[in-house]
Amino acid sequence: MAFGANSILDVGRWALFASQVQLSVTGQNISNVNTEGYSRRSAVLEEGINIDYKPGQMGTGVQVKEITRHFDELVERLYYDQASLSEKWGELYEQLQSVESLFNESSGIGISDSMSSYFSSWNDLSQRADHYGTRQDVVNKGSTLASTLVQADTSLANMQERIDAMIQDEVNTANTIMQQIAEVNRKINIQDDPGTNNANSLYDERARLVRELGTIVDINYIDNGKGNVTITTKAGQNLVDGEDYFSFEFGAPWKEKELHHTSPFEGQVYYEGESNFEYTLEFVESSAGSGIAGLVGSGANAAQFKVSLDGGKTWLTNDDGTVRLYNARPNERKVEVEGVNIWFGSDSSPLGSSSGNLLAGDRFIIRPSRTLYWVENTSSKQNVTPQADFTGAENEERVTGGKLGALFALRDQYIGKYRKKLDTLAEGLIWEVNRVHSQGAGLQKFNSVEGTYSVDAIDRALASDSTGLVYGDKLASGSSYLYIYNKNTGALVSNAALDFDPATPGTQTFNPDVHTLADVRDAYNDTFGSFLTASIVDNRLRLSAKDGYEMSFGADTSGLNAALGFNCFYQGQDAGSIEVNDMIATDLDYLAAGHVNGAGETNAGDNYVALAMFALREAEVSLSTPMEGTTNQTLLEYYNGLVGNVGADTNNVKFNKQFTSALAQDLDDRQQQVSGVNLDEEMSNLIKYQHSYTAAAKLITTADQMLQTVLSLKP
Amino acid sequence: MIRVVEENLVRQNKGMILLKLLLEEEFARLMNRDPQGVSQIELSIQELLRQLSVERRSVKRLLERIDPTVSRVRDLRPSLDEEEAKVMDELLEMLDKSEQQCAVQASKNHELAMALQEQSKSLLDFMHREIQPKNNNAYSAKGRFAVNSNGQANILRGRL
Repeated sequence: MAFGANSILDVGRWALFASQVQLSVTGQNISNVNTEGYSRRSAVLEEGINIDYKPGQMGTGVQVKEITRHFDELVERLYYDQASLSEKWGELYEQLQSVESLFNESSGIGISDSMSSYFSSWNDLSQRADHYGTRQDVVNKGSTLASTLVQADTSLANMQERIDAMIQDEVNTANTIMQQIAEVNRKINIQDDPGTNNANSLYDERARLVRELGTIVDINYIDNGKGNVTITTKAGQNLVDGEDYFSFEFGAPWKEKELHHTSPFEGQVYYEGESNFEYTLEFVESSAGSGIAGLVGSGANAAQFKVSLDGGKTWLTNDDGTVRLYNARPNERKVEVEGVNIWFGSDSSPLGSSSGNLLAGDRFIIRPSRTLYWVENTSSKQNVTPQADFTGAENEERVTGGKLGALFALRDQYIGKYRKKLDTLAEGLIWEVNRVHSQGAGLQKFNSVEGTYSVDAIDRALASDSTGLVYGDKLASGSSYLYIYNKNTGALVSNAALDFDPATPGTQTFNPDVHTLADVRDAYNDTFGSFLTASIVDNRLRLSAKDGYEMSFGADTSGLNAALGFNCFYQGQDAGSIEVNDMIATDLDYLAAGHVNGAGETNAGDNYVALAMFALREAEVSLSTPMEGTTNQTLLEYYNGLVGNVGADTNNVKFNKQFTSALAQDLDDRQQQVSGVNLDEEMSNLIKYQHSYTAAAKLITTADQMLQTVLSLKP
Repeated sequence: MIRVVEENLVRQNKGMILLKLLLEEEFARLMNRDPQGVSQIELSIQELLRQLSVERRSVKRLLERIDPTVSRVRDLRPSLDEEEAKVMDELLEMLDKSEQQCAVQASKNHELAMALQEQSKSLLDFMHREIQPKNNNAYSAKGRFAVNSNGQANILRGRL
């Protein structure tokens, strides 16, 4: 083979092709300068084959070996971690700002203001105890306070609902992305031939999708080459495995049993009610060393369990700090735990009976709110709902980062906590106000009165967990006085404390751990049977004075009247249900500003209760939440503490957001330094390659001239 | 003399407010990952801190001159009339508040700076790890199979 003009033509041709490819790659870079997720590419040139010849090897030109993509896998992997955190805190911050504005007194809700004016109105009343305008003012202020609490609670609840919708959107997006990544992996496996035909745009597409997935959930990225990447959550649940993909599901509340492998228990836990907490129930030994907790039952020897609301880190306690134990009951004796009624039934039916002993350490887990699942296949799914303990430490076996982490934290840990505290405030307010009011007397005595609080069963001790009396746990041993008057003359006919056992000499006082609603009814009938009739209607106690008599409530050291809802200012049980007692709202005479004095008289100008109510403003009240235990402070201080909580949380989240976004941005910058398109560089490349192209063309012209010269040789 | 102490406290207060602004600016520059900007502002912060400590020393000297038994401004309070004491209380409270704000901001700056540094370091560490031979076992020139015991790259015994 001879080298000459022909081979030069060929060399020129290859050079033209190479320059064309380079120009085209540069053009692609330039045109995608603003495309998100596009990585800079370049054509890698390779010398053409050499042919041994004399005086030495002769090259055959140049060829384009491959088109590579500039991308730093390491930086990208670190970026996924930071981006997921940054997204989490960013989302949290954005949402918390709206929560903060909700608690901003100037925005119109003004719980603090309402509470101050409510207590001040009692002070006004104390100066004019029988003035109807002032009485109306107390009712109005009380009603405003109740409605501001309801409004705040409703706004927070709406926010939680909105968050649920947002979570559903994110779950749908994540599922679509996982599917897309698997599809891209499939295409990469088909099209990618490393070193020859690099599937650059598919790799870019995958990196973009993975970034997007990383903003929704915290991920681990394991690259096994080509389309064989494995993406899992940080906790290890597989999301994409090569061409296979898994999914998330945002679904119904959830419960699970984790029994010891030798546990003979056959049955299931059931619950009703709503809560943002995840309840972990763990059974304890009935006697030391036995290892057995016992059976589910209605009696005193039922198996006992403790409850944790933060995944088993801390257990709910009694007021004295000891771990609180609940009895495992069947359906008809549900046990109330932090707003949720819990009982045990058979595997298939909540009304059925369970069998077999429970062992110490057997656990049941209940999530009464909507739950995030990782779905492995149609028959197996796992609860991956983000969870944190009361110190804020996250459960690392669940989803922790990304928007999903943020939205769940917001729903359960932030808004959930604020709602719980608001409920505690409302409960404290209702109880304290009712406690004072129920021992007072208005301008009018009662002909009949019906309790506003009901029980689930009239034959269970009122302080028991399974009675269903809202304020049952506040009851104490003590006596409740009732005064009976002649309706026509107004003369005091009888006054006494309730006697719970007339057969025993002396007055037997109320004991919340023993006496039932039926006992209270009987005690009223036994003590005041000549003047009134006590009956139970719809599981509420009703007192009706007989003809010619009327009654007034007096001192009550047991809290029975407040707990049953007699002569109360407020009705309802939490921030969502608090309202002024219908009886007072419709008849101002029942508003108690005074009390029955030592002589059994009620005087129109008496301001005893009004003053006590005003003093409540400064009184330290015992308030307890599962997160913070029991605190003693005034209601106003408690609310201000809650507002402070929101502010501090927002500030904290803001810093975390700034912090993580700075780190994520730093990594993104580093990635951009490698994969970003620099127009200046591309322009200089363009000129370089253009000249190469011109030079190659020149080579062809030269070869052409050489051929012309050869052809023009005269034979 | 009390007036001079007051003036000193006012200057310290203003200094603290400025310090807080500078620290916030530093945080913003850290967020924008502008190391040059950070070092410029850091110089100003150090200078301001130096001036603040000069003010503190001078107020101490003043106190010694007023009453040798007194070591803190707060201790002067019993000897002041009500008006002066009120002003002094306000100034000290303000100073305390801005000092705490500065401390919080400074710790935020520190945390962010350390995290950025840590991130760069971890990238560098990774690179170092990648260039070290992972399999330390090698055959020596004489054909002896050498198991590297220390786990570190070893040029003399490595793959040469």
